[in-house]
Amino acid sequence: MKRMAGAFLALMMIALLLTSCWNRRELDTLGIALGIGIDKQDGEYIVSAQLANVSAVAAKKGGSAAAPVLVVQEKGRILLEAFRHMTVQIPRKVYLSHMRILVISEEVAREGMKYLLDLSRDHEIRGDFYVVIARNTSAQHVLEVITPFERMSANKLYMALEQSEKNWAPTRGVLLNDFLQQSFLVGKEPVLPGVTIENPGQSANKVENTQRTSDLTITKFSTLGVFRQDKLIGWLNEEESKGYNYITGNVSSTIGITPCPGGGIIGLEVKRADSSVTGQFRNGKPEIRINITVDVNVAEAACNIDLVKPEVIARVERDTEKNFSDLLRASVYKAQRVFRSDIFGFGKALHKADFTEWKKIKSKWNAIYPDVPVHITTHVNLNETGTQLNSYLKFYEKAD
Amino acid sequence: MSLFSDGHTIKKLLFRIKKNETNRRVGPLSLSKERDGLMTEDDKQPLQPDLMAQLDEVRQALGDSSDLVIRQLKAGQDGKTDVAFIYLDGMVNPTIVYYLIQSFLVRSDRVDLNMTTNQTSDAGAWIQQLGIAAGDVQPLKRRDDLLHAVLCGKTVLVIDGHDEAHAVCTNGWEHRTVSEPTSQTVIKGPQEAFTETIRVNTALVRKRIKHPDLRIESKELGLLTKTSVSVIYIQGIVDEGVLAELHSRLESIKIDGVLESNYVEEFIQDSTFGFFPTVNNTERPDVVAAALLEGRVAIIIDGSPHVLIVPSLFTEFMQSAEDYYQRYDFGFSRMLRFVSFVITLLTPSIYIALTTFHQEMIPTQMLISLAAQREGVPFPAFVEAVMMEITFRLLYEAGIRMPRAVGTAISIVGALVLGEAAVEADLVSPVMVIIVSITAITSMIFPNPEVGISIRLLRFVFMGLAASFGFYGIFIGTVILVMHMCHLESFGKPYMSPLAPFRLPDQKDTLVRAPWWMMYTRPSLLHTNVYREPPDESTEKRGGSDSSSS
Repeated sequence: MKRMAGAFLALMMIALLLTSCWNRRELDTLGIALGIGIDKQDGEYIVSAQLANVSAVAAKKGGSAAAPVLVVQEKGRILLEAFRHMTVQIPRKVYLSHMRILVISEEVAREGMKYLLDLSRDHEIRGDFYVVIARNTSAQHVLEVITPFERMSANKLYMALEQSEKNWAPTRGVLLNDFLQQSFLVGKEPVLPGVTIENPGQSANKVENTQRTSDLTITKFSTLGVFRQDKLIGWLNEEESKGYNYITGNVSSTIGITPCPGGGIIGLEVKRADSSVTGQFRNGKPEIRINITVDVNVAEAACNIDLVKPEVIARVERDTEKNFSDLLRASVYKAQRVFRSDIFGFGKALHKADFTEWKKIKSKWNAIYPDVPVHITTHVNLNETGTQLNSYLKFYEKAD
Repeated sequence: MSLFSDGHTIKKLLFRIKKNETNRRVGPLSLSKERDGLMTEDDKQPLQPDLMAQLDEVRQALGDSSDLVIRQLKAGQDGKTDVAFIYLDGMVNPTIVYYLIQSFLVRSDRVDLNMTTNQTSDAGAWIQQLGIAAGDVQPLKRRDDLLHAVLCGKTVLVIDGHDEAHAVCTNGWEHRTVSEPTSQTVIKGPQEAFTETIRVNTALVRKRIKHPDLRIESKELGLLTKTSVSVIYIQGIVDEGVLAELHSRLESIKIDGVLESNYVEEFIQDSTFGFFPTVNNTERPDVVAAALLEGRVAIIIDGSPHVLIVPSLFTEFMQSAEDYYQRYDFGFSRMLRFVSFVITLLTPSIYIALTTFHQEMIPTQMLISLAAQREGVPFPAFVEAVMMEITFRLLYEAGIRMPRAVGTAISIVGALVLGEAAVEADLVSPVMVIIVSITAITSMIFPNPEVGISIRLLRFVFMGLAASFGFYGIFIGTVILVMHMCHLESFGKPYMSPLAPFRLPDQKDTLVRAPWWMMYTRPSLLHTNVYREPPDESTEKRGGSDSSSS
């Protein structure tokens, strides 16, 4: 009996060695997809996958002539069908866990993406990649551009978005999960950044493109696209995008321009921006208050201004506040009246403020939204003037 | 538990084999009447009073060995009594033997050697009267005692007409002097190591603990080798239970020869099939002294510079003597050892699991560079890892065994084969070389190389688990390993103590080493006499008598 048990155990042990187990894959069998693009043609989706050509990426010496990425297209009624279909072109299975960016063509975005984005169901896909819209070009072309710095262009898009989100107010990166959540819940509508191609040309998809110093084809983030539910309805301009990011508290650092008291302009570096959007019901009527406090430093004074005097600084602060309020008001107006899309999350703010009142208006929120009164208060603190007090223009002796 | 039940059956089986083996070894001993030189039950007979017959018997028993010296003299008041000195040339110090014979000849006329024939009961007084110029003198009454004394390097004085002989301690064979430790080196701290001679070794310990409560008990092990074994402890601090258990385990050892401390270690350890050593060994007298002060027991085996320490727990294998000699470093280096335990155990398996199952866990940039390295490597990551680990082990073994003169050859070939050529030939990926190097370095970091042996085996187990089940396998393996470690005991003490069971007061010397003034109590592994430093008035009354505060 013991002998039997021993033999049984030994057999079990042998079974451990048979590694024909669930999703065991060697690294060299993976086609690592970094970016996915979705276009539409004749009612069918055309999916482009940007795959890393790992040996070309990692080749340190000699500068291999091979392109660091490879973009393959395949048609499919749903995305995963297209991915599987790609194995007829490439020797590896598309591996989606390391996706950095999803590019959707404007056409697809305008049609609505409701039935397209059930992606996180697949265990390989994580929802933490950015979604962008290819503006005035196709998603495929965006993925094809090879640029310097980051040899894999999907990575370039990802990094550029992260950097400019931190340092440039108008851009905003949106993750798939956030987009999905916002497009289906009442109270906040999504936005997505657009991406365009500068200097489109024949050599955009060749390594050649990286050998130029200027005039190279390069991808560039444009302003934000406004959605109603899952459909793209229009684009904010740069100022409005900035306003959007201030109101939603997404500005960490940027440069703002404000007029000088004596003519000319002054550049202010935003060090900190705090925003609060609060809702309230007055006699059952919803109201929104936006309070924004900004700490700024003088970054560049392109005017003759006496920054030693406190009253001048106070003047600059007041002027900036006024300017700033105008900027915010313009974006709110565009969203409320032109697009009629609650991108600032006013509904959410009202929900938080008074749950029972919100429930009453929730069903007709789309109709009420454009006419909700919005009060904007801004507060600007000018803290530092940098390493100089007065502008050198103050000491300008020569006659013009 | 069912996992280990299989182990128990194997253990029983092996025990049976072991028993048979001992029987077989003992067999010829008991049948040795026809074999010369082996002592038998017959040897236990009393000594013959007739000197010539006695000497003949000794000669016969030792097979007329060429190093046997029998010096016959006439002595006594009348100068007519036959006496003989028996010793083995080379085992004795010739100078001492010379003085012994001289002093005996000078003084033997004071005593009537014949008169003492009937006064054997008063042998001590008799020998005192004689005033032999030597240290230890012991009376011998049986033939096997006599032979044993001669074989131990003593000089035996036999007097005609007496049925009692006297063994005089004249040992003086060549031995290595005390030198620096070779395997457990420190930068700061004592640079003495044990030697192969047991007396030197006990002296090295005694020198450090000058207290009457230091006890050295001796016994002999090995039916043929008659190896001296000393059990050392401090009375009053030692755990009596451990001491009793150790004695009973030592008693049960039946083996023909003990040539190194491991012979004893394997007999007295708690579990042969545990993956971890439950008996510590050291070649440093200061480590032994420290262990004794903590209430442990040390076992010195003649002929081995490695001294055993029991009970010994897992955390002890992570403690280096230097931890206590260096300026307080907030436990950094010791934590590093715990970390490297994990690194050396799991790095290859984590690499295998990550690259074959959980690619999504690797940061994108790293994944791409890893994938680029794997490009063109013909083997799966697991095979690659096993291949490299085995190659390293081969180099390691060769490095120990090879003659010093060809040492550079191996290292050049090793560096080239492991590092450069294998990568160039696309047989292994560069990252694999890095991983094997990391595990090799971290496996050398432990103060006691014994831990490395167990980790080396376990590493392969974990690699297999990772290749079959990914992190799931590693996780299951770790759970079983932790269960196994917690299941182990060393002389009745839980092996993972003071981590599991958790003992708060003992944490002062576990993951970190507290400053000396904070470690005023001994490990709570023992129950009496806990205070290492005399407690202040403010602290509570001490638990036992403060017998040793050296």
